[in-house]
Amino acid sequence: MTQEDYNIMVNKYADNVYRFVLSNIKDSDLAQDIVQDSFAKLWTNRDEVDNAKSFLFKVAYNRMVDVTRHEKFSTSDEAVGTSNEPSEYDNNAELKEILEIALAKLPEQQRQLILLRDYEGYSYNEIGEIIGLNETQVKVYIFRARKILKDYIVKMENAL
Amino acid sequence: MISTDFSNIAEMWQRFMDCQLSEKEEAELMAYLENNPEIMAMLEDDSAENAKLDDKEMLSAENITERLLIEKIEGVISEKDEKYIDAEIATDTKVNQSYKAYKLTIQKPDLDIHYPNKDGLKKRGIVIWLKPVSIAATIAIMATSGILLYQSLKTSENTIPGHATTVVPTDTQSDLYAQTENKPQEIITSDTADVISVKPELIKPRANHTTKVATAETNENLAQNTDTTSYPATSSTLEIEEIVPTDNIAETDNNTIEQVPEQTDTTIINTNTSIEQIPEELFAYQPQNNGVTIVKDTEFRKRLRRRASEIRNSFEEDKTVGIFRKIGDEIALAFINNKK
Repeated sequence: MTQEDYNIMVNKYADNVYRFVLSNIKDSDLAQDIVQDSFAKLWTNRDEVDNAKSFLFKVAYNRMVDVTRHEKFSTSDEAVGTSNEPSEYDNNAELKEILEIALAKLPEQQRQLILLRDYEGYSYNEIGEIIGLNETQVKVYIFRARKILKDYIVKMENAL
Repeated sequence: MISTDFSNIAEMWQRFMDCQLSEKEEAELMAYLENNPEIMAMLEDDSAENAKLDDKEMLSAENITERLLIEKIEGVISEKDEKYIDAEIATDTKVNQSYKAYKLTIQKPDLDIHYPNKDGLKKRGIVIWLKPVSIAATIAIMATSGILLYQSLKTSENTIPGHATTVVPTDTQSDLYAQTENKPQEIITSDTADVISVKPELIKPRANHTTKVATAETNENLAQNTDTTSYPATSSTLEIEEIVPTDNIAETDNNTIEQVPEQTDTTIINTNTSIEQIPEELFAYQPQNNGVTIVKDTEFRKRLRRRASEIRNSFEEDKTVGIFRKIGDEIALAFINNKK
């Protein structure tokens, strides 16, 4: 990978990785740090990397896991804690907000699987390579996550 | 409060994975796992292993409709299953509502979110501006080297270093003269045009010849003498066979070594003297170790001079190649001195 190739990767994927990270940890500074680390590792390993996009997401995912393990709980826990019950919602809350909260309610790994699947359109196999799971595991976790999200949305709609 | 009992932790973890923990329980679980990372790793491994069982669970008859709805929104449903679930969606209101709810679970990225400092991630600058700088530096070095080489050639063609008044003829074989160092130097000649190394070694003459050889002591005298001095000429041709230390010199029946008296027919010529006064066959003299080195005019050098002369003659019609002639002469001189 040349310098020019690398800069093209920055243009193509920096926003994607940033959105993925920011959706998991609601801290823009930390998200930027993780994106920066991901691209730094890409540059360091530029001669060995075949799929730059997968590599970036994999590094970002691992960094997020490190961060959420070492820092006292991810911001998703805080988000869930502040607005977990339907009764706490404003009746005029938009669906987007409901979805964000529902997503935050998911276990960390399932949330990441859903984001990789929906944001980036990765296949189960590709997600498995990034997260470190096999294809079947990815499929099961995504199914479970969908069911949790659907149940939450139905519950919220009924409450509204 | 969560106890340290592992079975309890496993149960809590399963409930956490199913999003069934209260906020307080979840916080307690996370606090415990944070302090026990090895248990955390174990639980994650178990979760991954159990995924296969969960898969079977998802494929059970109870959840078949749910599975097909999810597969439909995921875009991984088979054609046959899709026809079946489409019919269910169309006829069953509950299935239809579930299908709409599942469609809402698909996350859409907020395209207004951009990484704020994309340019900061890019690599640039160093290689781009170093390249022209390196090219310019290379050109400058080459140009400087060329100028210095030209000046050096020009100087060495017309003068002997240290003897600014000496004019070197360029149209004869004599232009292949030896370079001298920056001090007066003696040149020892003999009628046989042999060139003798004087100090600190002595030259062992070839067998069956009686030869007079200058000793170190004699040469010290010679080195101090800046005037023309004569030594008696030897009657035989001196062949340099071996350079031996002074201690090893011994007289034998066939090899008589004698000290050269101060007054002989051998001529010592100060290099301040014009080169034209030096016999043509004499050249290549450099002081070494405070002595005088005299090199024999061998056949090799004669050939070399002849070749240099031929090259020069071939170029004399073309003035633009004069510089090459100078370079050729210089290389020949350097070669001779190195050979010596």
